[in-house]
Amino acid sequence: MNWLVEPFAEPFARQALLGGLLVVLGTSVVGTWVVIRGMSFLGDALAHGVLPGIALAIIFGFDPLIGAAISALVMIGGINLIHRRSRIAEDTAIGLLFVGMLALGVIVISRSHSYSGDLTAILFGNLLGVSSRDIAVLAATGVVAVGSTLLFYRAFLTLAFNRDKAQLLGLRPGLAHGVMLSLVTLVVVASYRSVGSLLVFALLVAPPATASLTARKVPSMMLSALGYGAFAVIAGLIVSYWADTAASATVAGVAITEFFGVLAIRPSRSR
Amino acid sequence: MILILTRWRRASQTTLLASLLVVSACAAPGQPAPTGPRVIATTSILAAVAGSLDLEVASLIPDGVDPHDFEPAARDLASLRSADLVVAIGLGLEGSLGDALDLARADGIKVLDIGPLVDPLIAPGGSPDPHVWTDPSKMAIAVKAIGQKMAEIDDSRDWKTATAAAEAEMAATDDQVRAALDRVTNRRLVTDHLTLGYLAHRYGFEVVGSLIPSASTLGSPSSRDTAALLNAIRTDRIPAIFVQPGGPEAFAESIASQAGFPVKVVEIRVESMGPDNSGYREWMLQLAHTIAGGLG
Repeated sequence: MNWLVEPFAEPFARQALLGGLLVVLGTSVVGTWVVIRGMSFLGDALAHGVLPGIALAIIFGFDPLIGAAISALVMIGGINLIHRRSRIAEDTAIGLLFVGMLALGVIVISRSHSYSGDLTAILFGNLLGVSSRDIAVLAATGVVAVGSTLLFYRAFLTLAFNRDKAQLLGLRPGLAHGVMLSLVTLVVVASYRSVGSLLVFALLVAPPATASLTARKVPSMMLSALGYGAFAVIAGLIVSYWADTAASATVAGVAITEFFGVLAIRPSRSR
Repeated sequence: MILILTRWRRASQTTLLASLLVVSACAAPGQPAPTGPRVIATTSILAAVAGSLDLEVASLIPDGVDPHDFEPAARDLASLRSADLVVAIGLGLEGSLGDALDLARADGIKVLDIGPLVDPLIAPGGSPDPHVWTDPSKMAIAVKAIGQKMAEIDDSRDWKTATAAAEAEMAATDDQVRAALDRVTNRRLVTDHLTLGYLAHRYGFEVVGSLIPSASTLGSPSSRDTAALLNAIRTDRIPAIFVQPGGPEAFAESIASQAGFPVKVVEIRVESMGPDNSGYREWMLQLAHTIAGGLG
């Protein structure tokens, strides 16, 4: 069993494991709603659209978490504005804001005369550098994500499957939608620094998507997503150690491989 | 102005875009009409090296910006194309600026790559290490090559004398750096990415490893790399991790705290001059003193 223990011998590796598992707690719960409601593109856009806020935060020396949150709010506000003022499809609105924010981020970073080596860390992250403060932030995020889902479960569920009914039942679908977007933002913003926006997005979409292949009900989907996500983190770190591959990217890769693995072996579903 | 116009024509022959860029550069404020030959270096340290030939040399990559992922703006490309000589490191250091340099070269702009001329070291992974400027003896070869190019471009000056003076300056720098590093007993280096290979090779140090095990900042470590690095730090009792400003400082602190004995995280400037950019010798000496202080 040494091959299983040795990769976690060092404190940084155990810290990476704990950090990764806490990210999975938030992303599995929130990601299940993202996958059910077909909001993956919005999740991706949020994960990368936070760049200008982070860049401004680094330049002006305030907390990057605040910068990222402001970026996310601007994006969601912009998408809502397009939605209200025009008949353009939502994915086009997301696309406009996504590319706009990313371009703004690159402009800000290129104009700043500061060493921007950290840009790589923002996008691809470094799971191996998770600090105790990161662990605290991730744990708090996980608790908020799980708590909100329990609190808004009925509203989220009705919103996901029958928005008109939600209106009739007085479940305020607009508010529920807003809370859901805030949760996606929270998970992305809290996790990007420790694991990078690529890995956050991978864990937000891949484990719930894999779970949707095997589970039918929302709670079992969330639990299986949690399982698939946790496996991706553990297996990813072991592979990264033995195969000598970049840690965050390997975890993301395992999460995607799981999806195709399950897709291949599950009994094909008749449509 | 005639000079500018001929350049304008040269550029407009290539593409409409290029000509537009040059127009914008001509209109750009704060660019005095050049009197002598216009020499541009890619990095601020390379500009200081070329500057030791008693030349006015501008650097394209702003001081403090990571050369590996620098994205040139339109104005940078225009100033490339109006230069009589562009001095670059090459060997992949300049990232996407390297492509712009290749295009400029194809259009007849003189681009001098220093890296391939100085017998580069091979970085772990098999490709040449571009961080050649941390070895003053290699920079003596560089100033000679720049002097030869300048003699082709401008025959109004005695470049032989200027080159000899610059070579002497590099030799003096070499001696002083050696003296500054002489007293260091633990001659093992850990850095953010692999930046000090040439310094180590010249002055008898060993690069034990780096947080990002790559000659570029654009990499990400594996769990195995980090475990091996931590082991090496413990085995050799390495007292300091050297990180550039804006580098993976939090990661360095985290690794330093896991060594089991005090390890300092020390800021060094390897890839840019910093605010106090008085010259190559001053920069190189400051680097040597910082390393000696961190390990001493």
